[in-house]
Amino acid sequence: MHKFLYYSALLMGSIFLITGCAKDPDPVNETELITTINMTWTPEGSGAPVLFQFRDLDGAGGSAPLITVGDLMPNTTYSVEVEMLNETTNPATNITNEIILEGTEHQFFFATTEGITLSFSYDDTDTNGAPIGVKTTMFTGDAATGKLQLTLRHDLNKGASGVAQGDITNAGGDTDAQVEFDLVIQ
Amino acid sequence: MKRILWITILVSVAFLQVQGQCSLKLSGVVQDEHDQTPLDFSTIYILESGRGTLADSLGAYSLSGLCPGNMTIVCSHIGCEPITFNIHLIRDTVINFYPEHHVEVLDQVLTTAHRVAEAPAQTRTDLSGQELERLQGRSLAQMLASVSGVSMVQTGPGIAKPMIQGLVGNRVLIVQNDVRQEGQQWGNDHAPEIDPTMAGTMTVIKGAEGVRYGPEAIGGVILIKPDPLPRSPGIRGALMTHLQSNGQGGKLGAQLSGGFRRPGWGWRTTGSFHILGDQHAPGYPLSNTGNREWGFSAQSGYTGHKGTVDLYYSLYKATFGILRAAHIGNLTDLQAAISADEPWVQTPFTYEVLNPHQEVLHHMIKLEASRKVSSMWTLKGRYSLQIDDRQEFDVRRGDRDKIPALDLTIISQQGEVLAEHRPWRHFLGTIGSSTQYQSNYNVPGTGVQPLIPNFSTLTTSIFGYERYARPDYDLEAGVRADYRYLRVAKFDAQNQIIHPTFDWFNISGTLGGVYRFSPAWKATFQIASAFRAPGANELFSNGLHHATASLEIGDEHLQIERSLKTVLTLKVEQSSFRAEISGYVNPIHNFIYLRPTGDYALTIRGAFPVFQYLQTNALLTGVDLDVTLDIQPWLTYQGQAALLWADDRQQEEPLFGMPPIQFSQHVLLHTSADKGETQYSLDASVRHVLRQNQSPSYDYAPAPQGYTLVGLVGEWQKGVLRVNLGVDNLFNQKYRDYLDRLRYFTDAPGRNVFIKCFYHF
Repeated sequence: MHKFLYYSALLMGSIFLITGCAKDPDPVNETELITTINMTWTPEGSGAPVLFQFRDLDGAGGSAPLITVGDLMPNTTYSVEVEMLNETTNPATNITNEIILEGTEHQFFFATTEGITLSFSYDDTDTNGAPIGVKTTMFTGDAATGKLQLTLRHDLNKGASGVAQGDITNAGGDTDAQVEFDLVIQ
Repeated sequence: MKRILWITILVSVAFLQVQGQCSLKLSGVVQDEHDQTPLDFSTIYILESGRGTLADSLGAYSLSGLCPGNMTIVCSHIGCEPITFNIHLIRDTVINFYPEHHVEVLDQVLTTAHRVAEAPAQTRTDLSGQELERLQGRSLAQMLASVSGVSMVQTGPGIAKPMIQGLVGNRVLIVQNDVRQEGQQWGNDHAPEIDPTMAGTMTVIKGAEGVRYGPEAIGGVILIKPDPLPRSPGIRGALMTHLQSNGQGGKLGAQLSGGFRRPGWGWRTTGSFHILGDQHAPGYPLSNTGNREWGFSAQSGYTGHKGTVDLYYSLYKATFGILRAAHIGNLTDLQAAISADEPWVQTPFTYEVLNPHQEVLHHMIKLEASRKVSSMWTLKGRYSLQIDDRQEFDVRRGDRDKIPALDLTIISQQGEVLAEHRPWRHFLGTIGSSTQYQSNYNVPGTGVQPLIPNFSTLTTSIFGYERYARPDYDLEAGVRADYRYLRVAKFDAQNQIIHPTFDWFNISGTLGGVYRFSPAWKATFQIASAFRAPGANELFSNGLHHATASLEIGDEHLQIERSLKTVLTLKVEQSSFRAEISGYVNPIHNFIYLRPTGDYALTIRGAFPVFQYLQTNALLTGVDLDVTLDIQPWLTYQGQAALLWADDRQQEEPLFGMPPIQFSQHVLLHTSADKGETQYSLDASVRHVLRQNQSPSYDYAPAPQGYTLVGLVGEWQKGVLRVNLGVDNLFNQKYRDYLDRLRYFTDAPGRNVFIKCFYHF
């Protein structure tokens, strides 16, 4: 009886010798975080470039993102470039390069609300000759206001009907980024 | 090795020679284990054939002229709970009964042994012997779902968790060979890390047995135990193969056990391998739903009159694919998936598992010893160590597909000391204390903010329960005190490491009884309280949960969740009619659940609904019904029903994710149990699941329609060999299950033809 109690006590005591307490975590660098989307509109011919920016430095949740837009001119051709950054690292990580490297798995789509005329054509291609959308040419219509939605799809079906022309309907895949800008053409 | 093989073959041949003759003899003694006094005039009878005998004044009995095959033997003695167990009789056998404590089977294939009911006031259902074997090849949760009142919460066809009367995850305790299973139970897509091949008995306890098994058993307890170890020399074993058409794979399982030359010492080892490729729904493939599971266990121990020693190790490793189309980026993707008829990714069949997928590795070691220290007291000590690694791989950008997005290691140790006393003036009971230490660690390198922080918890408890046992009634009462300390290590908003700590103290109790109106009829009643401290996910979640396209916010101020579950059961067991009706009321105070706040958070992926962990007062009320009717010696009807009402009493609305009303019925055609060695049976089943009409308004999609599934299983058995051929979802019914998270994305699997073989030697 005494021996048994002695061994049980020894056993119970030894449990806590081989364990420590909660280990401190290592800092995590979010490798896939996108904090910033820049969309630079350079008008053909003369005129200053216009910058659209969506910036959410603390990621999902926390403080609300900051959205900056500028006015576009009617009936104008713009060459547009999209840039994606992770600004939590120093220096900021350029995600756009990663997207171009994996061009066959990514594509940007642009959509506007009704009442706005904005057509676009892709100016870049992946290794299979399908568009990516980092570089596009956009044509504004008459003066109007509305919204522009930018969507980046990952692992989509780039061969599906209409996708190469910029129609998202049949694209599938999952959304890496989707932001909305107030669009003023005047 | 070669020698063992030869012995195996020789023994098998010897077995085969004696089959087919109805001339087997069953004999033994019935005596008190402690002083070996014969328990004279005990009755021993075989349930199936109704044949029985009375032990003589020396406690000896014998039954001869028996046919080989499976039989249920019942030994009853005045003043003792009857002992029931199943045996596969293949030669003359000696069985000694010790009614108060245990049964000793000498040199025989024992498929099940029920001891004297440990807690007669519990409403419990055992799956064992052939009944359990027939379910092998399926997931643990699927096996358990054959019990009324048990359903499963799924993430596609491979990943399932058992749910008892509406509660799941952290609220259901799973106990593997007397050790609380500890992994990442909080996740609804984290299947229990147990290989069912090791199980000799699976028991579902529907009461809130917090006093006996520790905190968190608010919904119920699932006990998974291996058969008792053999105590005499000789090697025996079993082989199981399962092949199925849906997923084009199957499972191979084996069990080998034996005794050592020193009497009382025995060993057992089990192993299994399970592989499935992509399954398919009616009309289309479910791409990336393949899985792999490996299981291994080894056990050795000694059982004697003075005490026992038991060393147990189990290993479980699994890879589960998750439907590719269920990986979504934002709410728009989810809504598109819900409105689409079919998943958007459909690829040709493959065994390969791509991302998203999970990899799990679970080790358990247990050392247990008990010793009779006096004629009254037995002391028991138990130590266990569990290491659980979980990695989840997501669809990622760049070359990060091979880097897990979630990588957690949780190490749990438990020590327990129990003192049990044998009957003293009709009282018997146990007092004990237990300590558990657990530490959870995020393995660095994922490149993703962890879902739950690093933490360590210490839980210490003392408890005791006493039972007053009389021939026609039993009363039981128990009390337990638990203290839990939680220390967390995480980064705060300013990126500084902080160490918040929490502690909780709780007292829980149980009160119950059983009244035996007659040998056939009995009623049990139990009222039990249990508690659960908030989990790390509920306290600290703060971020995007990709799988559900929502932002989940934890609350550090959550309180302990407490339940007071009352179960009332009426049970009848007659030779041709067996039934059980069980009603329960489970009010849960401070029930923790996720609820949308109505706000949307704007992120770079679009707007996500914000869900917050809140507390409410919940009330779960329900009825489970089980009926078995032997209409003819060759025809049996079985019916089951489970009804549950689950309400959020503060918000005055139904709780989310509760099982809908369901009915299942079986019609069994079979050869009579004692008609020779070759037996056939045919089991036709129909399962009705109604639409969940009580679901809260905040679900992403309305509850799916009810459905009816038809199944058919034929069985042929000759001596030690048994073959099952069956079909699940015979009519290839298209359906979606309310408790399957993938119901937003796809139909459930279609028709599945399977064949299973069992061989005992």
